Amino acid sequence: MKPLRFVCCAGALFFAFMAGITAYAINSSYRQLTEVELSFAQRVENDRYAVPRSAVYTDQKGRSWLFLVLEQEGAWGKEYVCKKVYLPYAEPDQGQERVIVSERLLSQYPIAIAGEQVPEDGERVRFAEGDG
Amino acid sequence: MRKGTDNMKGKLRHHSNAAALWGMFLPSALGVMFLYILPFLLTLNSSFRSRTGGKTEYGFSHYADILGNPVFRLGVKNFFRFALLVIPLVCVVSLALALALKRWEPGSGFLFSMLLPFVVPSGSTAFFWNTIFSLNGWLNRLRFQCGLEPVMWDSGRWSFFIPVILYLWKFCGFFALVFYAGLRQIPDEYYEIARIEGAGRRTVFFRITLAYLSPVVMIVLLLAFIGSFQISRELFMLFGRYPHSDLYLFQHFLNNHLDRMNLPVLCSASVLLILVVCSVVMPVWLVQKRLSDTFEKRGEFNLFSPRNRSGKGRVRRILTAALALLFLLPVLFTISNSLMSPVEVTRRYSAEILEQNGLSRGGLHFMEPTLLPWPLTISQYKDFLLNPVYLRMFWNSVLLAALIVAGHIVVSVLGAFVFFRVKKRYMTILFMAYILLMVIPAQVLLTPQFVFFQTLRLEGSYWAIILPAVFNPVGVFIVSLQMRGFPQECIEAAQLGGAGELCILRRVVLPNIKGAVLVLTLYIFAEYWNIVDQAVVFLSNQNRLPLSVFLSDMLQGDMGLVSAGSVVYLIPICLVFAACLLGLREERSQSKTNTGSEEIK
Repeated sequence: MKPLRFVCCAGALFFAFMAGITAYAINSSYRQLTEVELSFAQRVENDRYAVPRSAVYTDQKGRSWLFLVLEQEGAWGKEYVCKKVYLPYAEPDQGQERVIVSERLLSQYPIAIAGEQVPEDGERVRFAEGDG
Repeated sequence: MRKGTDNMKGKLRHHSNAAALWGMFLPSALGVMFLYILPFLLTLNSSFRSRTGGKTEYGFSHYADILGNPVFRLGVKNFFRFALLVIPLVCVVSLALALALKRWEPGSGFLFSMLLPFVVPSGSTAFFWNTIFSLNGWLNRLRFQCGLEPVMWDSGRWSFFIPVILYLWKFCGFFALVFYAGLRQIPDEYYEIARIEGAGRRTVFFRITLAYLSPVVMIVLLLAFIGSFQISRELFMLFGRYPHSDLYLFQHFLNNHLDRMNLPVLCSASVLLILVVCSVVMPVWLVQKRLSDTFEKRGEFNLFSPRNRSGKGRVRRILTAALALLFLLPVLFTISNSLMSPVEVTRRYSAEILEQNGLSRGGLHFMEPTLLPWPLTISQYKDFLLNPVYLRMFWNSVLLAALIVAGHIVVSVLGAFVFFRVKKRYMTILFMAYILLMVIPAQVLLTPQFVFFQTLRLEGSYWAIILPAVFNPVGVFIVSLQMRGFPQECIEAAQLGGAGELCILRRVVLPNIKGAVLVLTLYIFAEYWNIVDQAVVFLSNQNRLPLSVFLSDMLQGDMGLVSAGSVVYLIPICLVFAACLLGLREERSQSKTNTGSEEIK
């Protein structure tokens, strides 16, 4: 094989390898993301929204919070991150399946309902199958 | 009647040829006009304009301020001291190296190693020299082992020589290759005639070698001047933005004001620099032009010997290997660091005294660079290659470099061809303007270019980097110099055969300047593969940055990871370099075969 042809083949192989590893890295990093379910708050009063109970967390100090899903420009397209938002008001609804909360941002952003693994504030997440 | 028709046809052909020529020149002319001349005029305007109490006034107040600024004077003084030492020095050293190469006839592997310092990412270069010259570096370790006190190399009387050594290491190999290519163009018969006529060595050197090399000397002088600004990135990494007063160069002044977007100061400083550069470059160019017009000769870029390379001496082989090692050392260290485990990286390079990290003095641990790390690990490659963010940056670099190189070659060849074909006085003046624009430091034009792209709403896009790079006048300059000696008889013969200008360029000129095109590809690819400043200024979105920006952070960032990234990043440029060098060699052997077969016929 001529040296020039060898170098060209090596170049083609290198770029094919980089393309392959890029596809693999994007895919594997996506698979490693915490999976969440998307949900939307329902407005019940002026500043009051009803959200699923499973979306609201409470810490030892009695503070309640939930995760909003924010869209941002990532390295390979759009990506979604969870933003932790503390709720100044959170009362269980009559049926106990919903919680009435007050948070203006709920009108703009969807809520994340985590599965077994709870994401951290600012962590990238992926949606469960069927959430798009 | 027939004669009249012929005349008419001739005139029509002349007009269509002229239109074709101007059509070819248009991209280069428009690009240079909007991306270089207009920003330069904006610079000029800003340097005279000042606003006092809401009123705009024109005057020399910025110039008066800047000339009274001690920091500016210090930067200029140090820069000229640096440039006056380093530019002639690099010319002499690389010419000497090229003359040695001509005698040694090295293989393409050695030539390849000579080019590497030119393309090593600035972060790796800075890291290597920091390993040698820092307070806990290799030189001080050596002094300590000899019983001497460690020295602050970056602030003592020797500090000025660090940039000089760095500059020589980075550019010497590349310029030696340019000289070597020039030397190979000088016909051997000239030397034989001189020998028969009994000319001495000195006469042969000055009257033949140097005289016929004058266009190449001009190229090297200009590239060396541009290089003195290109080196600023490594200097910032090594010594910071405000180094010791002996190391504070004009480049620091420009970059510090560029960061603050201090347009008036930047512009007036740039105009002063351009005036000085004009007064130096123009006389040199005119002398060179007169010389090269007197000695009419040209061949093709030729890096490979037609001679038999048998009978290499052992000393010659050792010398070649030692030189190659000198050029390759930072690359070898980068490879070695990329294969070290993170624990070993910390142990060897940390300034702090840790457990089992060897020689130290006064609370400072001396670095322990090695070419043979143990245990070997590829974990840093894994971290790098499995991170989509770094991979996106890598592909950003590929996209930028591919578009820039392709566009630059097309625009430069077309532009240079018009300079070659249109022999008018105004074209000579225009060519001189191209040279001047070429030597204006990139930092000077960055701000007005930024304003220009902001007006076009292109400031965050790749076009803001690609367009100035594509229309960079350096390509037209390099290709025109190569075209200048092309025999006019060939053009006339093609014209008689009814070939148009585009056909002449494609079929007659281009096959004979493949060497120049390959050398230009090499130069432009190397320059823009390691792009940092333009990317930082123009691209605000982190996801759009090229990998070179991340790799330039080696001294501050995760050293092992950046080393692995640098090695991966070096592979494409090595492949391009190898392809260019082999392309030059194949072209040489083809032209030899053609000549041979013609002789047989």
